[in-house]
Amino acid sequence: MTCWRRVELSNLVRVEDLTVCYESRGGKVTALDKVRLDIRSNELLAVVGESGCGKSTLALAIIGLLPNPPARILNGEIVFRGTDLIRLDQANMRKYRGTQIAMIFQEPLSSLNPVYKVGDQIAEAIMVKRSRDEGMAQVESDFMQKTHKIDPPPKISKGFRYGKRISGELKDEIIASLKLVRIPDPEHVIERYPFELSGGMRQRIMIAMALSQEPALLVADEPTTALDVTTQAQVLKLMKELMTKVKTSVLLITHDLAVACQVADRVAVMYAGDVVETANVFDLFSKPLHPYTEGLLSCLPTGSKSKVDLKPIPGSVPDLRSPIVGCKYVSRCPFVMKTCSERKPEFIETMENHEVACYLHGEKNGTNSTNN
Amino acid sequence: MKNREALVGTAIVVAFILMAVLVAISNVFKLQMTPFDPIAQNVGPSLAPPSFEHLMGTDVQGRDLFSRIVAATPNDVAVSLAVVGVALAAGAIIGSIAAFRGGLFDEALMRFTDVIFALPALVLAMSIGVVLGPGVTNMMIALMIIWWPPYARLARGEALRVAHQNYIEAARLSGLGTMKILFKHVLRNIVVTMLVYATLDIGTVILVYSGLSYLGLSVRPPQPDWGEMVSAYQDYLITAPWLPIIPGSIIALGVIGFSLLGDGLRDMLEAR
Amino acid sequence: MEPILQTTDLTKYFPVQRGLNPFSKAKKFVRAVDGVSLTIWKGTTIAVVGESGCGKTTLARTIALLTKPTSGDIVFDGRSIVSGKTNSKLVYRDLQMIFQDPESSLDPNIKVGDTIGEPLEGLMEWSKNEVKNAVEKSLAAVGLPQDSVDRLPGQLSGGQKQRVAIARAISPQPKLVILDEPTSALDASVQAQILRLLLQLQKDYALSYMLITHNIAVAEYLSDYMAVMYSGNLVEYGLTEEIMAKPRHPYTIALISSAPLANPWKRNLLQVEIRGEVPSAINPPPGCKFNPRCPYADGICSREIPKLKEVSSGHLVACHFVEKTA
Repeated sequence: MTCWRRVELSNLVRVEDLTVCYESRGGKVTALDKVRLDIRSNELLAVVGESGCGKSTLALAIIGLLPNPPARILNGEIVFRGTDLIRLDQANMRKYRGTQIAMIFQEPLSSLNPVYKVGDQIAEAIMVKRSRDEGMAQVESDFMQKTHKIDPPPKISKGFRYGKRISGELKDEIIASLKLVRIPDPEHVIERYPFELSGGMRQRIMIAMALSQEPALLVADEPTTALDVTTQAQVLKLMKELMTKVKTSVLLITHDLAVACQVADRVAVMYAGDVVETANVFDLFSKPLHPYTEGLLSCLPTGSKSKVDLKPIPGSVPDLRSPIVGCKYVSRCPFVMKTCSERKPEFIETMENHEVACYLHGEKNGTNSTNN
Repeated sequence: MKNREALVGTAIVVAFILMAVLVAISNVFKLQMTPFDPIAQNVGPSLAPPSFEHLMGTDVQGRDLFSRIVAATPNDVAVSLAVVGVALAAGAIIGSIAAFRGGLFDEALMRFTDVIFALPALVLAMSIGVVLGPGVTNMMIALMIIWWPPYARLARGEALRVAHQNYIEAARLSGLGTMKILFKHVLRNIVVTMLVYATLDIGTVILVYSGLSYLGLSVRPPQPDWGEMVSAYQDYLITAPWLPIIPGSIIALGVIGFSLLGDGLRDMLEAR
Repeated sequence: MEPILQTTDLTKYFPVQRGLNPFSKAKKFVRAVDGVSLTIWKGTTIAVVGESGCGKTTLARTIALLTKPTSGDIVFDGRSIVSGKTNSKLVYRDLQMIFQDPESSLDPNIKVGDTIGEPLEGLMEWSKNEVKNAVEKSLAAVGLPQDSVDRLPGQLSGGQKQRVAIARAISPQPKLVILDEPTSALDASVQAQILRLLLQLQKDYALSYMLITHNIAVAEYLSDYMAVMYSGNLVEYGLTEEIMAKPRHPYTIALISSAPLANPWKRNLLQVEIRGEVPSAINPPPGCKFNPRCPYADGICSREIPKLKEVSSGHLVACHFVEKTA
């Protein structure tokens, strides 16, 4: 009998029991249903799933940008370095968003302000970081003053004003950050407007701005979906390299399982608002436990038609407007059992660092237990 | 909340149209459906305030205001609906043909549209009034001539958007010619946006037509017309306020009704 | 094997209008398709791959006669179809197209049955009954239930809409179907369904496919032949299997190695080395358009555009130094 060894890895983010619903005229949709997810330090966690599975909702919930009228957080907690982000009000959330938790989106043209030059926008990001550092230093120095009677350091940065000429130290820092993301000819690029640059360059600038904050977590929502294949490769490669340099964890949202295979350390698979399986990328690929993961893997074209027999998953994603009892995958699962439609299986760790929500696996859940 | 307003608007519009139709039919059969003859004088005391017998009072010549208001309904309703209807149809066809033909044809058509658009409504109507003589029909024609350019512009914009949809290319691959594509696919897909604009526009036509009528270009007295009544009775604002206020309010009510209906329609279609 | 379609030096330039004068002759052109000659063999699938700006979509639309070529010839089923005298209605009986976006492929106001029947009404002289029967057969062939005829597109899912688009394209029983990114807008599981359907239809109806895609995995799966395009030019052409195993053009090498493999042990993505960006289509670099980014570029590359040369039977590459990638 194997006892599960609970390995205490440093958890940067712990999402527990998160339930989010969207209310629209068409009905109420449960976008996230008691989701549990951990993001560890210095790892790239890829969340994969098809449209409507809730992966973008999860990303927006973590960064605190869920559109509040249609979306409502019904339950759960998102614990980031000891603080539950859900309980924070907007003012306090701003201390985390964009600074300790950075985000990049799919379409960089709408993330960059089209009327300001690129150099100015990066300057703004750097100035924010500086004042943040000063703020921290201020807090520390206040403490030092109170306890040890040490004078505070003089305040240097005054915040950023658009339109002012950038020069000197700030300009060097901007060029350095552009060089870091391998943008050619940075001296000229800082004078460009976003629409003058290609999609790949814009996305790299977004990465530069995000990482200039030295965030603990970078949330990337389909960052390369709108890019060409070769540009995608460059951007992903860059993200991986910078991750280790800046010591940032990355939460990568993607519909492309192949992309996840290429860059992720761990992968979480989502289906219809549930996280159904989490494992490190090698285990997920070689030993997929959840039937949906298996289904996804066998419908990827990985060779010529003469060699590969594509097995599409029959059926389609259930309509989330009507509440579903039991496991949401029953309508398409080839291994469906009686208990599956009665009660939703719990998301538990069945093997070391491999969690799954399925009655086929784990003693606690079903009559079948797989001990590996 | 929005639905309630739209319902109110619809109710007002239905009431107006119903009234217009009834009056028009009764005119055809030479029947009188109003309590009093709208042009007959001295059916009641002069300048009598509203009472049970004369619901809206009487004017200085002893004519019953209520009968006059009701009898004038077809004018504003018919003119506004006809003008907008013609503008919608003409604009839709002109705009979508311009969009699909493109090139110099498009340029020429749109510049022609601009020229018509530049003509001031009131001045043109007055000129036509001078040439053709005053009258409800003549004013309607004058407005029709100048009302369509915004619709053409709107149609062209919508048609350009639709032109890039793949189903248009699929229609070409099915052997359909440009005209056939326009009538089968394009018009149906642009009419929705245009209908919303049209419904909101009807109120504007009512106002403009009332303005023309106020200037005396429309009916000849003693025929009743709301705008004309406002002009004729404005001197009685202090002494017999019901005389100018009621026709003015009826005009406003018509505009409000169509606007609410238009808003409701737009909200309903945007939600789709 | 005989060819179903052949293009010879096909070009499509779009004039760029500078200034406000609508009558001025354009001096600059977007060279979307810059002299492409390729062959599609009957009964096979050719994948035209490339990234944004390579001209593959323009190539497809020019071949489908949706836009007039600037110069060059297209020979379809033995007859040239570029002249003004060509009756496009006759061509479309044998040549059809499926588009990328299922949402805009169907008129939202027209019932599914009428949409599928549209090519039959426009191209064939059939009776209402014959059209009805053909629509029924098409629906069955794409795996949709017969009651779909009366439905509107708004009631269908993305995958179902794409099936309707496919049914419409095959209803006149064409010989060649151009597929413009047919699965790019679909989820992975739906994509697999559609790919299998396309293969099945190819067998049942003896179709030839021209697949336009930027997705290498889909291209590898579905196609027999591959044509790689870069900035309006055809840079490599040959059997898919051969090109995937041993790409010879420096751009093809970069392209294929950038395609993410669904295999965590083969992290090809992190090994990719490609610099620079796709060049401007109005002012392309002189000579070979890839030369600013090519690791093997030298001398002649910036002076002369390379012509397609055979490196092995049926495998053509347009590169001055193709021996460097052997």
